[in-house]
Amino acid sequence: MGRLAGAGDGRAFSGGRPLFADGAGGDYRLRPDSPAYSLGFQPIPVERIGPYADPLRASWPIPVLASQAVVSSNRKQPVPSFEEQTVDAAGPPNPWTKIAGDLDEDGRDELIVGGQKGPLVWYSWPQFRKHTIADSGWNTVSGAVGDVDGDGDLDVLLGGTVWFENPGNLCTAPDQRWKLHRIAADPTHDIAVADFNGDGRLDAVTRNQSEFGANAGHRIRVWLQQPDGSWQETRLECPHGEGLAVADLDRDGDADIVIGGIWFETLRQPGQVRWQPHRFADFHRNVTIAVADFNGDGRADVALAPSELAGQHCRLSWFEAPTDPRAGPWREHRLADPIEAVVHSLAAADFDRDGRIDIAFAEMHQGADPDEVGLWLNRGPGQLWEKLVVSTTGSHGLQVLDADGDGALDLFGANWSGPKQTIQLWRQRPRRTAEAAPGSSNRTPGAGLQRLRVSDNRRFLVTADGRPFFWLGDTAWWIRHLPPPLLNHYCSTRAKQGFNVIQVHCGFAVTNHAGVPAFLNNDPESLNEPFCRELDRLVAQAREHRLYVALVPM
Amino acid sequence: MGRRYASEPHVVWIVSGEYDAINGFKLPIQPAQKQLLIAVARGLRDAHGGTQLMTMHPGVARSSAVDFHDGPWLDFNMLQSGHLIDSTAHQLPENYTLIAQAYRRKPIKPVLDGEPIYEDTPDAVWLLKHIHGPRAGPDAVRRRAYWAVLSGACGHTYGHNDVYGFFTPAFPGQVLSLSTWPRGPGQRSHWREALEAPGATQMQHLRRLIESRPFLTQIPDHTLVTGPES
Repeated sequence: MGRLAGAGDGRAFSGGRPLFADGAGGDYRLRPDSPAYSLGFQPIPVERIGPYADPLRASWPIPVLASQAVVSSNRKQPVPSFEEQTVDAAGPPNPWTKIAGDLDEDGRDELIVGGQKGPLVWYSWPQFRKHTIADSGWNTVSGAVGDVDGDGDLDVLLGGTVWFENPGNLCTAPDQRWKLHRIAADPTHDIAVADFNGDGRLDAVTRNQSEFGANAGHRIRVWLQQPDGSWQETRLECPHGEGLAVADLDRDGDADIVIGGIWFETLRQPGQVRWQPHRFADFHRNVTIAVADFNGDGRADVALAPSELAGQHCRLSWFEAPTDPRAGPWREHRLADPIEAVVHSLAAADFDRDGRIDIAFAEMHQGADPDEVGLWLNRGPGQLWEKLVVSTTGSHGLQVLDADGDGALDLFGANWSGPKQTIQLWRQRPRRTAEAAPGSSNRTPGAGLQRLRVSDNRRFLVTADGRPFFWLGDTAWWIRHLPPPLLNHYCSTRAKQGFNVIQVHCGFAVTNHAGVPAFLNNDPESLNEPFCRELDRLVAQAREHRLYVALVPM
Repeated sequence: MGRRYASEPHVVWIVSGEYDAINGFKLPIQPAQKQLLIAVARGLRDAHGGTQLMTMHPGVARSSAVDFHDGPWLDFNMLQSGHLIDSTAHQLPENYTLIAQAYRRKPIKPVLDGEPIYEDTPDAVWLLKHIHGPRAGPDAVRRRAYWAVLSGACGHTYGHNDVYGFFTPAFPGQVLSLSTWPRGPGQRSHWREALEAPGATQMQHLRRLIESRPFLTQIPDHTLVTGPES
């Protein structure tokens, strides 16, 4: 930081000049006659200025942000632990389509499952009650979620190709049927969504497959949503195969299209958009794809695994993006070789929250046993990987989600056919030893949240044991207008952002989202129990996220 | 209500919101009104016996110190610097001035800005009575935060125009205006999107900065607030 002109001379300190020894020269020791002493201040030991561990520093060690994470190789690394749970033993028959997304906006991702011939359902937290979106209308294996109509909630897209309009208000009215909108009559295997042309409207891209007699995986179809709600098709020729992903490989701000070994650069031009193919790898023609920055160099790398057919073999690798992804070469890093071509799911996410992107994978049940569902944990930046098997029951279309809204990523999946088609959720258990960081704690949620008091010098707030408390508040005045299922999303977001106080208006002549008044007949002696029960939930939810609540009762 | 939450260690009381509204924001408030507010504060304090912090939230460009500084129940002062990108342009004090005034008072009490301009609020919307002013970007929000804390505040409060009331647009592009129905100071995006506004994600840096140095020995330096390069 450059020097501030006049910094330290205290001329603008309205409480009187603090009288530093030589502020202009960078010596901020207080002179003996400084008025700061009369305010109750103690001199700071000059030799101890700068970063060092001290009980008076609440943010020590200074937390490392995810984007700056470095490897500490000699530390025992925590391994995530998962609990298997059967969500539905009698779900849609042949549950080909698995999707995850926060449909009801409660801050948790819902499990969405479509049967080969229907129905399409979602499961609501916490009882996993099943709600039907539609009975039929699609012809696909995969699906996607995205805000197609720009109204702020997530709609569901299925190949075949259709989208279902989220009716909204699912928290209070989950059992609504969703309106179907047809994009095209076109069977698909894969679908992904992005705004390719940058017009603010969500677009879609689909691809069929070349196995099982379909023999139609040699064409990619891009569907650009038009202002009138119609969809303009662009076809891209490609080799036979299956598998599709979208990601910004060239870091130019638009989404590119990735298939096995080839990526299509999205080129926006006035009034149109076109795609330029680039080869990055020689690989199996049927793939599942995960794109992420595996080595932390800021570039989008690509992981590939072979997805079909049982009995064939290939490898599970990630390809390291070069400086210019168009020019290559993309260096291959093998995680598993050989591996049977039944890995029909690959996903990239930071499961153990160490700042490095891990890979989730699942083998389909028709492969040689065991049919593994698990993780490759990224232990050195893309160079060192540790395999964790979560289950051996197999899955097709494994999804990554935060089903319980605790910030730790979970998995869900199901076999696409065969005798065992239960909808399985693998919930990540809470970590025992979390990193200390603002807004989080290594203690169990809410435990040990201390009372606050004023510091001995009367200038600051501290916790009961005297540790610094820097009030970082957010005005949530009218949070009573939110139904309780939505509180978690608000609280968890603010906690993650480092806030530790929410300011909440809870009285006097007010009502909550259900029209329930805080006091009966505006009588201060008649506190209304139903209103308070919801306020109790907010207070409890805030404590879980280590947020203090500043209540405004009038 | 005080008794119901007295055992919660993480509850703080703001006795009244915009307490001077009791007198239509005309100052000073009437003695009887002041006595009413003090009675509410005492009722709450009787319930928790001094184990929970208490303050009072005032109207625009004032602090709780004006009317309640000597109240033994008032643990710290709160101010509302108001919904202006540039307060001095409207002959109102900036928050560093309000904080310095409260800071100098005896007995010493901590102070913070409990309601600066919310992110994305149209400038001076409540004074001008229209929503056509420039919107407060993350820079305006950060400026208030750093001004306050470097002037001696014991913390800071952030807010977003679309979050404080948990706004959900009935249709895409809807903007709530003071002059149309339903009325509002320019709300225009779903609160879930607004939760991720740049200013909201940047406040943690201020907290980390302050917490990364010894806390209880920090003193205000207004040159960091009003210096030419600030």
